[in-house]
Amino acid sequence: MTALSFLSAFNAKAMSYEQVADSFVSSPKFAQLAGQWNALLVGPRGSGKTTLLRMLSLEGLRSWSGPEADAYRANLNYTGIYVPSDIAWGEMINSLGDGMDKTCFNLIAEAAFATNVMIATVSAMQLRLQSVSSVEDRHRYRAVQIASCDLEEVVREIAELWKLQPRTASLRSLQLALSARLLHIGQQSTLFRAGGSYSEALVRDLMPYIGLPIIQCVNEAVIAFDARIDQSDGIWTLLLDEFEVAPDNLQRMILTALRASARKLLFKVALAPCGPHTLLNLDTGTPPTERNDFRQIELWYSDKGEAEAFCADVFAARTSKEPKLAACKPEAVFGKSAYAIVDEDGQTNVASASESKNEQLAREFAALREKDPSFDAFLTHKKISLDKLDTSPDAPNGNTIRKIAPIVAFRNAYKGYADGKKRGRKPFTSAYSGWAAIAAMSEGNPRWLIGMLTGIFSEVGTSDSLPVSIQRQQHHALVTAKTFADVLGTVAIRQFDQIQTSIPVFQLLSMIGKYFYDRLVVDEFQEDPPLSFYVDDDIGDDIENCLRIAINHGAIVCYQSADDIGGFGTLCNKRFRLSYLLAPVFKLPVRKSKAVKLSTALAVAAARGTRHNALPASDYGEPQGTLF
Amino acid sequence: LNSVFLSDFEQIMLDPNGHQHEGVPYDLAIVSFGKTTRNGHLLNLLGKGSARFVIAVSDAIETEDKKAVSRFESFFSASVCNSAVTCERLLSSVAQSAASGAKELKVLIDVSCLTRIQMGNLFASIKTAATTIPIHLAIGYCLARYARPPDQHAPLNRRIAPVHRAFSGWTAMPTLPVDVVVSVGYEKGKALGAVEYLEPRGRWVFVPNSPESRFLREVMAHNRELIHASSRTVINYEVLKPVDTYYRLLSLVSGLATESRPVLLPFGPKLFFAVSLLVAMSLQEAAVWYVDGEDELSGALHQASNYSVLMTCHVKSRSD
Repeated sequence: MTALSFLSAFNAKAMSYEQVADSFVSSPKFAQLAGQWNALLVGPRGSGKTTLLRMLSLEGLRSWSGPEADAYRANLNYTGIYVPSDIAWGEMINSLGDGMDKTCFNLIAEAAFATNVMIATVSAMQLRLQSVSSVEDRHRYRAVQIASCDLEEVVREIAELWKLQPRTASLRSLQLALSARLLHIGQQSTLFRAGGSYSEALVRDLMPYIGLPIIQCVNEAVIAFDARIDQSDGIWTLLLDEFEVAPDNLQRMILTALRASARKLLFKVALAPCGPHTLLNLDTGTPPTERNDFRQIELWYSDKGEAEAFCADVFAARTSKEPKLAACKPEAVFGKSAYAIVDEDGQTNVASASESKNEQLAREFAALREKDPSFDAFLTHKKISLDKLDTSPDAPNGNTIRKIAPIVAFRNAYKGYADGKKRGRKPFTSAYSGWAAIAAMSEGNPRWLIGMLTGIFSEVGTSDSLPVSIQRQQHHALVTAKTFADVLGTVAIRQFDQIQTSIPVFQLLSMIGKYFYDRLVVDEFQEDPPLSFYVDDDIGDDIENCLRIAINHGAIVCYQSADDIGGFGTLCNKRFRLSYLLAPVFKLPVRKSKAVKLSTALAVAAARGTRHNALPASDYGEPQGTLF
Repeated sequence: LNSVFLSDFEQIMLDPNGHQHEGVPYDLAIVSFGKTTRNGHLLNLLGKGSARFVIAVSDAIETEDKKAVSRFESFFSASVCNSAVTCERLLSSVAQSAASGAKELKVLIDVSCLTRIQMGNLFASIKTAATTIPIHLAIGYCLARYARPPDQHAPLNRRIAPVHRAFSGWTAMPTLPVDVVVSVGYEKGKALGAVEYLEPRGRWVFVPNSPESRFLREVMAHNRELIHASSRTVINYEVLKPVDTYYRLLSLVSGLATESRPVLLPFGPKLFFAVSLLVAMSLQEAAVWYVDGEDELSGALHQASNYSVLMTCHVKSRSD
């Protein structure tokens, strides 16, 4: 697998509706998003925002033939208008304003964005009127018929509302007129800048469509359409993808409208968790509130169980297309994780592998005690005898033994040998195999999970060869992790103009990772070493902005829900962990643990040297040359 | 939006022992200021008298060595100016030429050591200038002598964005997907990071070949993932054949523009970056992006090789 095949494993932007629907896996998050309410869909890159929005569009729902598709089609009572957007489109719009005064730029940028929304609205209307000769009902979902005279009347009404002059009274002509408007916007902006002398009055004079209120424009247009098809109570939903790239004033307008919008028109808006919208002042005394005005759906999983259920569904969807894996359970393909993933509450959710648990524990505990006096002291202090290691809850120290077992395993693997003996070099990677570990490392991110699954499935010859060997699983998990780390190494430190830092994102992550590694392996043995951090008051804007970029890329995961509209207004006092996908890179367990102040972690890591502890490429199981 | 069109492309290799410029001298020659052999190399090859007026661009004039500035100005009869002043002078030359009834303005730009931002500014000015008077544009490029690139990832990607508003592209169909055309350089990880940032539908990878063959080895090694994953869309090109490259790139991007929004990410040789800007002058849909921070690396490539090329074309207003 290469970096790019990993990254493009599930890029919904580049896929047709049929392809997206074919691999779509419904989830509770999708159900939360789909309801008849305004919704903000917040998640890092690759978390599936585009897929979810596209699947709520008319085209997405018509393409979907999965088990729950009919139920969704039956219960959804709105027409989804998918409005695509991306970084390139955002930069095109920003460029319109270069060298122009802010007021004129806002007007022009808003007009460009609004025109894109209008194009999408007309497309959705066309789809509703499309006559499809198909035996399958789904292809006719929400299809309606309209007399040609009525359609012409609708087009005329919309053209008047939107200040367009279509050549003929057809939806196609409306679309062409909108495309021509976009060209006019680009051309006029160039001329304004080249001429140098322009004013708001001149802009409004030469571009009479400037300042059209987009929400009302779409609302009135769908009212006109519904009136002609005798569905006056019809509801439409704008599905605004990657909305963080929209001009500030438009973001403010839409987010404010979540409270005030007419229920004829709903909004479902995809946003990065730390986009510029989180820094906006909505300028209203009564901002929209979650539950009352909108639902906020977050595409990260602080609850591992929820992520694992989704991962199992993705697994089932992928294996249904692999004859050699048909009907296989995830544990049959991956086996169980060699080391338990233990939460801070001490609950173990994964059984140990083939070696008997007590044998394995005794071996690991004895090996560590031999080379680690602090562990020896801990055992003595706790009165834990290696002859009687019992992890059952009612056994003396049973909970403690079970809880420290993975820590002992990591520490033992990386601690090296006792003084005077050669230090162990082989990386400890068996923690990164087995279904629970693979699912946890994916963080419920479909792109990451599919990236790993695709690689691991390619290793399966016949069902007799299951489960896939730990070595092969580790190899693919580590390559995926390393690729993610490589990408983080090239992340730009200035995003959306407002979010800037002087600190390379991967450098900050490395310092945090090194601190956790040192506490886990290098320092005195601790029963519960920290593996998470909270952002304290001593963290300045530069680091906080770096963390914001890391969040947008899914490199760190917040334990709490985002408490601002569409994301995190501030990170202060929020608790985070490094993404589990980075665990192999920083040689950390896939495990929750207690938190430490970030300022403390960074100060200690800086004092100990900036060299991070990431695995060298040669430690990834195969020579570099064969990985890519 | 497409205010200019380009024609009459030619390319010539320059004699490393001195290539006396023939015919009418350039009205204006723009080079980059610097103390290395590569900075004034092209002017040396073309000889004194090849340009009536020479501007050497530096965007750090305040911190430049004053003696070095004086020496450069004296040796090449040049003025050292920042980008903004250079563009102003270019446009004022245009105004003067137009006022005097000149048929065209002859401009030479040596892109060898210019930063990508400087090139973006200059070519945007050329695009504007050509709406006033036809520009006979010569783009000079001196290949660098090989120097080892850093082993580690390249310096910080500060910002990934269009190099200039004139080259940000525009579209009548924002619903179309993005395709990227990336030319690779020997900066490790740069191209991969930029491609990932844009999440394109498709990617085409231009791989540079030149007489300094060791560059190619490094380019292949540092872009192995990108090249391997794009095997069916890898296009090899000769750095010193810019006209061939222009037509190949124009053909590709024109085709892509019918079904996508093409974004060009020209890493590597500056001459490819210049060619990309020319393509974007011809096609309003094409955007040329750069990665802020990338030029820090090319500072290592300061020794001139024996290979230099001059590409010429006419840039005219569509209304002419």
